[in-house]
Amino acid sequence: MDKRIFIFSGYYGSGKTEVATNFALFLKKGHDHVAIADMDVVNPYFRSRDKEIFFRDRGIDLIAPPERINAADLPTITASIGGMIDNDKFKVVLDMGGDDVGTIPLGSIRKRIEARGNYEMFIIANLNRPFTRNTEGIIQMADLIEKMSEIRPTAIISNTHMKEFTDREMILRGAEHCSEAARRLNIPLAFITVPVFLDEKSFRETLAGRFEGDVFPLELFYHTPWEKGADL
Amino acid sequence: MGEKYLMKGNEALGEAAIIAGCDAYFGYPITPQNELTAYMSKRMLEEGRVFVQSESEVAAINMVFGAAGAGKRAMTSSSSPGISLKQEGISYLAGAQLPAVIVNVMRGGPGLGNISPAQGDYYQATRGGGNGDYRLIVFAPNSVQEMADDVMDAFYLADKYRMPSMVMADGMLGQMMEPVQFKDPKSKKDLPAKDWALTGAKGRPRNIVRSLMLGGTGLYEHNEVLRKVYAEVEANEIRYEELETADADLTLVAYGSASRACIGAVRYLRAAGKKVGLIRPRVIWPYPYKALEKQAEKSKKFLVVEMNLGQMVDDVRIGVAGKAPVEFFGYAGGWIPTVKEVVDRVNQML
Repeated sequence: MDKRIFIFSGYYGSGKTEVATNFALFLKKGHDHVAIADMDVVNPYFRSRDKEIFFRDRGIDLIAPPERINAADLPTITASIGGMIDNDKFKVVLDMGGDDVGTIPLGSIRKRIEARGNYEMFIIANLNRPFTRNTEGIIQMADLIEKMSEIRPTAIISNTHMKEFTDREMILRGAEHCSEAARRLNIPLAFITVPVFLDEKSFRETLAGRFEGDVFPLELFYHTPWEKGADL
Repeated sequence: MGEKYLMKGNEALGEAAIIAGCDAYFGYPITPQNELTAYMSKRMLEEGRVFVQSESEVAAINMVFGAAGAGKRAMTSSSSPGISLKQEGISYLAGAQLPAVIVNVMRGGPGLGNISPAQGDYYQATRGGGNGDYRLIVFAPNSVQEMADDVMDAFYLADKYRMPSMVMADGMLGQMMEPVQFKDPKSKKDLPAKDWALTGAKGRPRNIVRSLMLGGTGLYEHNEVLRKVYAEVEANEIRYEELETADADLTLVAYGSASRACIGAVRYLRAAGKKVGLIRPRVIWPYPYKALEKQAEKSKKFLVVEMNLGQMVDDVRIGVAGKAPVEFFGYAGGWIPTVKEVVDRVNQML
């Protein structure tokens, strides 16, 4: 991953925050300075800003609205994001809000991102979500996001899952459609996410044999409060 | 049953309404239910049905009154403060005996509160936030699947009894994603004809839809009609679930998001050999008083868990009728119980 800025966008509920969080942890393994910016102005719950301590413990800079307004019912983008984009020491993960409207905040920093050149604009897709049930839905989303953000997507991430009910057949079907969408958009399929509980050697080989995208094992960090019962 | 989707509760509410034959949706945005309004703005137009983002919550509920008066299946949705604004219209719907579905994805209160999940609107939903003697059939789902199922039933029962019904969820249920499969819509063939609707009076005597009944004994008689309808709903539509109640020394009572942690707590405590069960009202009006009365004969203690300062606990006390102590565990303002918190509290009581 020689790029510096990684933008995670996609339909509402496609798994952007979960994948972006995992990606920031992945980057941290090879780099001292990693930041994740919560750019979500759409969703009021399950946001990376809710994980302040989580990121601090792992040495990742979280750029998010200050605590006193982080539950405010209005779109807030933190000004320090601009400085982070310009700071070549940092690998920066931008966790966008859902749909095309979720990429609106990119407008204020688009020129700086493009000036640095060095970026990936990922489109994340989950085939189990209502508006990306097939290749056409994914392409439509990519087009909408490009129109709104004025940044051309550079790669697709296949993130088809059904939470704890995800199975391998589902992941294969998702990868097929993402792969076809990527081909038609003339961009690569960068990753196929596999939740850690399904990640094993033979399945990795199956995926590697059929798709160009790398397997990206996904640990799940965002839960409902009652799912956190494991601490008993 | 169709194929399986991964959906937010708010989206599932919308799709289920469409499958149930919702002809018209009127709403005004408010967090944390916005995905429902957004979903309807997209899907209702695709279906060639009516979607209006109204200028206010008051306008939306009155548009529902109009559409329901014309015999159409109509729905509005909001979150707590917005539901408060709709109360006048809800009372009018009840007074005019109009079927309609109202969705409340509850957030913290009182007043504007915050956008966190809460269950502070239990009194408002079950005791009537508007004026007069009226009731709503109130569904209390605890999963995305139940949110979908309940919206479909809410439309059906509203038509069956000619009264407004409500699906009461909270911000967590609205925002979280779970697998969901949509049922086929219930056939309307057993439902009464909407011969009271304003469909154009050509060739028939005119219909009048109103809640104003001045003069004579009209309003007295009308209230007696409502009394009969509500008695019928109480006789037929009580819904609740029991988990491990048969030999429970301690019975938890919870609904919605709060019940999710209670289910986890019952499983954990049972595995530890402790006799704990759960009664989970699926509909909170009419209320399962009899189930609690029966449970009070075998259970020594009750613990009610709510995301508020104690509202449903009143109904539990009515049902238990002094036969066993009823304790309360709950906080307002964004608190959602964890399994551990419920287990710890139960252990203190055992």
